[in-house]
Amino acid sequence: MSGAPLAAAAGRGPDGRRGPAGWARAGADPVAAVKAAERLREDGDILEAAVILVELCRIFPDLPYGWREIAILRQRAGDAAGAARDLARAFAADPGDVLTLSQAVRQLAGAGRPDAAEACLAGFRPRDADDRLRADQLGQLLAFMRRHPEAEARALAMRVRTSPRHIGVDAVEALVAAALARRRPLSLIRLGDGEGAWIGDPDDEGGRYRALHRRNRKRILRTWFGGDDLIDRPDFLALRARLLAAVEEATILGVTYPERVRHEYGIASLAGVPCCTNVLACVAPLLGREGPAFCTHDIHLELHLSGALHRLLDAGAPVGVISCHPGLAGALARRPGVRVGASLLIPEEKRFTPVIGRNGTLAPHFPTVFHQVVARLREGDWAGMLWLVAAGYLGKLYCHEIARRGGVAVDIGSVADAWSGKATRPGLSDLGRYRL
Amino acid sequence: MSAVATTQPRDAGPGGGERDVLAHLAARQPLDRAVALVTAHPDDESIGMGGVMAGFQNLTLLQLTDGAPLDLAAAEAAGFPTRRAYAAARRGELVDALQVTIEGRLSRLTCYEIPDGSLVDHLGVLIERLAEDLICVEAVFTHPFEGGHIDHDAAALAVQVACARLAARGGHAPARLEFTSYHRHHGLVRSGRFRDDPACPEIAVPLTPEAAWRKEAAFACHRSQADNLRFFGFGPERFRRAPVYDATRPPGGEPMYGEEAWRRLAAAMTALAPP
Repeated sequence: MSGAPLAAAAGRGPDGRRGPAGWARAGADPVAAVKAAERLREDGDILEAAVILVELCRIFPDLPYGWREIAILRQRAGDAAGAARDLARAFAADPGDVLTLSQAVRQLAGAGRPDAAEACLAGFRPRDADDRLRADQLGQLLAFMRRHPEAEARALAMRVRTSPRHIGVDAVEALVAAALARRRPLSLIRLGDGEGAWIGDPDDEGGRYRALHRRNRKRILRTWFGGDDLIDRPDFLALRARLLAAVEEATILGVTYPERVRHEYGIASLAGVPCCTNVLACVAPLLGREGPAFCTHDIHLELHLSGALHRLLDAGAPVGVISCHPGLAGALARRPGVRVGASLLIPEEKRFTPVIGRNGTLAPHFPTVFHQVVARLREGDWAGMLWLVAAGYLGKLYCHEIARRGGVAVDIGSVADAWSGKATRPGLSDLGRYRL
Repeated sequence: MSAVATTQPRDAGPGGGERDVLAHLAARQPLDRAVALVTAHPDDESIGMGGVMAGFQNLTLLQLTDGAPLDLAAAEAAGFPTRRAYAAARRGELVDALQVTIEGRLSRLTCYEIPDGSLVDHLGVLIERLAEDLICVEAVFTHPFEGGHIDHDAAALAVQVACARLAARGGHAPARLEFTSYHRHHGLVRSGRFRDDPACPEIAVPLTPEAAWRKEAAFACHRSQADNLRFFGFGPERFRRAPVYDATRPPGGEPMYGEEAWRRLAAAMTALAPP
């Protein structure tokens, strides 16, 4: 499909500006029109997306996609009843459309109507094995949300937030600075969706949520490595125990927070709900005994925006870098007063290759580069050295290795991307705020 | 041990990193260090290290030129209609050769894509980029400064300056080593040897039959360079710790690439900001 009809469907010319053809071209290619509307929705241009979709539904009332997408817009606008009506029309157009089913089930579940969601799912007749798997995953999500309701997850998140050990960005900075000054180990690791997918075990709770957990594991593997071949590989699965040890021994843990839990349950996210819950279930036992401090998993952004990372860099401790950005260590080394003692380059997360670009690494992150990085980290005594680690799931294990050898490891995640001028996450769209 | 000390190679102390790497090569032991190979042209890697490369477990190849000179005549002489086509063919040959020499186990391949013969015109950018890439490795191999090919000499000096800049910033700088290329010796072209320098001890690694086979097969992959590669044999590969070069003095006699080109290189080096 060429870009021209798609752009025209979105009411824009090939250069991205509004074109004379306008949204009326939606009729030329309904699939392109839906994609254009999705893009506009993701960009926040809800009205423009709605214009395309309304026209699409007028021209093709018997196609489900337009109704489904309008339902998403209505749901986001808070019009749950209108969304339900549009989904009903989408179902009427194609009762076997699994994407419509998914949207309908999730909207009902997110609106706190699990019975209606289950009824909707029960009425679905899968056409093939893929549809059956999707339906199974949805069914397991509903069961998971019943077993682990939002109130329980939010209560756990609130327990973390109100814990005396929950600290803000200033206190995190102070802890890191003190560890550097006293040459004591420190590991700050953040637990996001990816870690949540691997902290949980698909065989937990009798394997009742196995399809859901495996779906999430595969999804995050594709994000990290570009494929899901590692899903059952024993040496990769064995890393889970090391991750749990890294969590147990961390100095500061960045975890999810009540608002995030609300959001994930509100949209009944297949990934977000179990991943948040898994992380909270993992850290909950640490609340009741001596253990790590807690902060939000967005602490890396706060550390940058507050200037804390720059102050820590400028404090004079040698700096180590683990990231996929070949120029980052050099850029740090050019900052007056910053002494880069080591830099380890890893492959980029494959989902973000289009944004980051290829860095030339040919070996896979796991197992090849992972073992090389761990071997190098195990050679050293990193006392008094500040390591900035941006390496996803495996990065948590690198932080653990560094701290075990006396170093101070801070999981800076996507801040490394932003410092390198790459907006890999929606929150980094204003790169001007993220200069090194 | 201090943090910075830990970033030094395992055999710490002056020259320890170089000694350790050379010892591994001499013993034909696998080397798991992060090592960079900085080469001026596609085929230099096969000429200098084609026999031993298979022993590197974590090798980054920084390929500086694309192997195609700006002068279209070179591409046409090699049977290619455009410079781009020639460069693309040489890249393909390099990839094929790496499948033989290191069985595709290269950790990283980065091609700077500077036109062949033009490194001297891009020294500033080249050195900055090398500094960024070399900060990630423990040791670097490159050409000696020997007056053979202007790109080889530019590569040698650029690596020297990049490492000096890293060291001047107080941080990690890799151990610097050399492989052989070619130079003029008593009026003849000599390959596979360094310029004689008693102050720079070298090691010679005789090629095993398998290593010689790899090197020969790699040469065969560089199809467009068959005429040039005839001058390189399959004798021992030699390596040494890189000396500190004085870029303002030619490396013994008139360089093979001519006096004028040499003056351009020396002037470009002199014009660089100090580390």
